[in-house]
Amino acid sequence: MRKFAALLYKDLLLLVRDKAGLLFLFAMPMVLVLVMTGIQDGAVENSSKKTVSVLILDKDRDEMGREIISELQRQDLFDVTLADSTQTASEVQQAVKEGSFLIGVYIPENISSMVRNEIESSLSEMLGLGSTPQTDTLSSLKVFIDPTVNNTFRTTMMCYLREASNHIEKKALLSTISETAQEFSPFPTDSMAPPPDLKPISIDEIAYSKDAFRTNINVTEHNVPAWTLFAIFFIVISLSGGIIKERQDGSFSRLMAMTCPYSTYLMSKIVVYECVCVLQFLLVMMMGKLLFPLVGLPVFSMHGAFALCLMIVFFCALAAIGIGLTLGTFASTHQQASVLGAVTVVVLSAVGGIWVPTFLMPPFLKAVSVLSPLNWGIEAFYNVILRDGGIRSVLPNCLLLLALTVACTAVSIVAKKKI
Amino acid sequence: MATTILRIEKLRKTYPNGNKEVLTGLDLTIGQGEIYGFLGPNGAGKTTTVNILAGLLKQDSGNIEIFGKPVASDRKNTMRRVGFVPQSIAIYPELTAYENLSVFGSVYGISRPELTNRIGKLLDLFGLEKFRDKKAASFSGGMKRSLNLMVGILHNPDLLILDEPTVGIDVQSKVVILEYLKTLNSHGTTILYTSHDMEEAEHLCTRVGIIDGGKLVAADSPEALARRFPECHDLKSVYLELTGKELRTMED
Repeated sequence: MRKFAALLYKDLLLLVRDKAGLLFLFAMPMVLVLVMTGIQDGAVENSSKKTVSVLILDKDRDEMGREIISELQRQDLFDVTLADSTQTASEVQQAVKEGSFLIGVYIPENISSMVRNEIESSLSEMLGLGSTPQTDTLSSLKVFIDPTVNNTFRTTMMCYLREASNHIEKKALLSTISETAQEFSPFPTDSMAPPPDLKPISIDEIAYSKDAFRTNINVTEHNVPAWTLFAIFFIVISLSGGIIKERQDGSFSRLMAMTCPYSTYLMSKIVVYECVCVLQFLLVMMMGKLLFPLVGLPVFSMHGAFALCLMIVFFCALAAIGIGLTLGTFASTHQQASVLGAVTVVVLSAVGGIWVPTFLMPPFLKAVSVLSPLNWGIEAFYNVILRDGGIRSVLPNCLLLLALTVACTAVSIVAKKKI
Repeated sequence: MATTILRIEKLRKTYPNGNKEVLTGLDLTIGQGEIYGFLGPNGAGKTTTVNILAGLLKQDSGNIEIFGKPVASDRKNTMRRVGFVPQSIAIYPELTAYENLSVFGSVYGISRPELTNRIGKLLDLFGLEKFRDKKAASFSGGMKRSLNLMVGILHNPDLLILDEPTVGIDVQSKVVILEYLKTLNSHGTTILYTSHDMEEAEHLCTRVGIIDGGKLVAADSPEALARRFPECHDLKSVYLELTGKELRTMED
């Protein structure tokens, strides 16, 4: 115990005396979280507030045109301008090409009546009432889109147009059925109600979460745990560097010559760096709670799961320390450890979903992501913060992190004996 | 002969990936109260032997007995009575002199009051009392060497192993260190030390062993060795007579 206490004291002093190292360990996660959250929050806010300029040329001047215009005007997403009816489709195209509008919509002449005729004709044929005169080929709506328009806006526009045309088709169908029914009805025609306006099926968006009012993750809830994890795993550089330095200056050999057990030597480092990681998390968490609202960012909330979050941090820190010990054992120089450590952490974090959520990744990387300890950590955080998970939801990932720690430490001890 | 403190028999060592045997059956015996100079050219096997004694390397074969017992049978208890001063300055530069001594002393298992007392005496003895709270990084080479030595003798060892303890320091620091080693020896500590400095060894050692090619080629008091080679007038010329004058590299 005396040996352990002495080593602990030594490791703490070495850590505290290294001012640049301290700055790296504690300022880096805070800066990272603040900057990344700020950037992402700005991006999300901008994209949600942004409007797309749309030029509509309505040659139809009938139901279809009116429906499309009113549907698009209702949306905050689009800034609608109506083109003069004397203009042509190519003029609308030209306006988009010149960059005056991002999207141009051309609604051809008589498209509403063509839709109605098409439906009447199809229905008559279906009911065996004889064929109605052949209608002209149905004109199509034309949409001109600037290549810079985000895919989300593009898809949204197409959805609205599709919805508007479906609505018109549905109305025309009902109207035609109603008229046909009136023709064959034995009752007076004025006793029949006009075709009803069908209500669309309502879709309620309910995300699986603790908070009934929230429907999706905010930038703070991702960035605070994600970048804290990144910083926690970055301790591998400081830890492995320290081990290599002690080996190079001979103090490690001296300790070993004093028959100091290697496990005690490692244990003091584990305790010190575990404290560092917990402190990192507490600092970032405090920043998320106290500083974020002051700079206009969403407040970080753990939704009452502080203990579970701390538990996740504890196991993530153990895994990071395990990797650091292994790196410190195998790397021969500080440069080797720095480069290898940084690359390993950056790759593990990128693959693990720290930078980009795993659901956006290609299938291959998505499959690989489950191998990253940072992914185990961030998923455990999501389970607690977003999915209302209890201890059972994080236990499997914590056990994985513990297994990695045990494996890394065992490899370090065995390798040290061989070295 | 005095009680044997250290006995090495047929020690052999080849490094992994090495194609040459560094120790080729080294035999060495050191009696109680001796200051034994372990001399040899670069690559002769001095540091390898010292590292094996300190438990930092494992021999391929051969036996080592310290205080009459095989080291392997009870290394922990044996090493409590052995002090080791490596060739490199194995202290923490970021810690003060006091903190360095305190940390290593605690690892030796010395009780707090005893440790404080010993640290005070040693700092005073080596003239470092007024630097006790200064970081070792700010020390001169000689001060660092002194601190390096102090860490090795904090626990009053019965056998002190030093690997080139005076390399690269000024004359003043060298004198302080050598004088202290003599004092320590006069109080009963047996000393094994390696050096390239023949004059220093001649002045300090009661006996010297010259190692070359991984085994001892001669061992006796400096005077007796000089008598054995009538054409040699001092230890340096005996050494050159035995090991040759051609340059050595570590690979040799």
